[in-house]
Amino acid sequence: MRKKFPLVWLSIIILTASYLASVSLLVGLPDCSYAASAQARCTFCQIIAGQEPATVIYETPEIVVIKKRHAVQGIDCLIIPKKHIVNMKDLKATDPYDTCIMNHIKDCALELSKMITRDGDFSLSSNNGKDANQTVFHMHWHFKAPKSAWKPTVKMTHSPQ
Amino acid sequence: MAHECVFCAIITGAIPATVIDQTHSMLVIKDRAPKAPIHYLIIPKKHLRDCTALIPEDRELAADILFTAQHLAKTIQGAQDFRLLMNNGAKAGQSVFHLHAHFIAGKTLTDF
Repeated sequence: MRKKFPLVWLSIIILTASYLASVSLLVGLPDCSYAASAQARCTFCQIIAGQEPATVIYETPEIVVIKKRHAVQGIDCLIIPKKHIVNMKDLKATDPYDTCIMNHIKDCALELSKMITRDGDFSLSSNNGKDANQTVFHMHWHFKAPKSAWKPTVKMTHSPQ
Repeated sequence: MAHECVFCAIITGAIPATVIDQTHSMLVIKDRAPKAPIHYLIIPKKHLRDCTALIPEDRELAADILFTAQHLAKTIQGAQDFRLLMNNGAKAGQSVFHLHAHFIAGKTLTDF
């Protein structure tokens, strides 16, 4: 009886600890699972993960640049942060990635302007929210330059329209 | 500050403008020729020609542009959904050669 007593208590302690650990995991899961499922449904996250095809023009550890599927006019590329940020409203001032993102976007845009344009002139625009015509809810910037600015020596899979 | 720069003159108060908001690094004014019900210009107080003039040391300044836009979206009625646009170079439509971002909101946008 005396030998069994500690074993019983040990078993109870182990079972209780396991139960508490599983409860804490479950409490944490809803946020993780929501973010995970949101990212799983995100076209740009799938492109970044290589699960969805896209024409990648340029890439850094933080950013990927793809050709827009339906270019409206001239040169039209999308500069996309690899981290899933819904839009500018989602940025956190305490997050080092978020506070550096504009610098990374600017560096990418500068690189693109050297690669693609004759004179280096370009516009950058970002739509934030449905009423601003944001259609993919993963932050991205449109890099645009007029057709006349396109360097003819740069080969792109499709010609600017 | 740069001489003969209209935005520098607005920042110093030499030229009047309708100021919407101001921080230590940014000035927000109404655009004189608005393209939407809400059309503001977010202007860094430091004179930079365009976004390509930002250097690594300007990282905080660059972030401030985005966080200023975020703040406007939170605090201005009707500005919750917005477009931020920066033109770099004359051929891209830049007319004042002092870095600024157009904050456009207040209507449903259908173009890109």
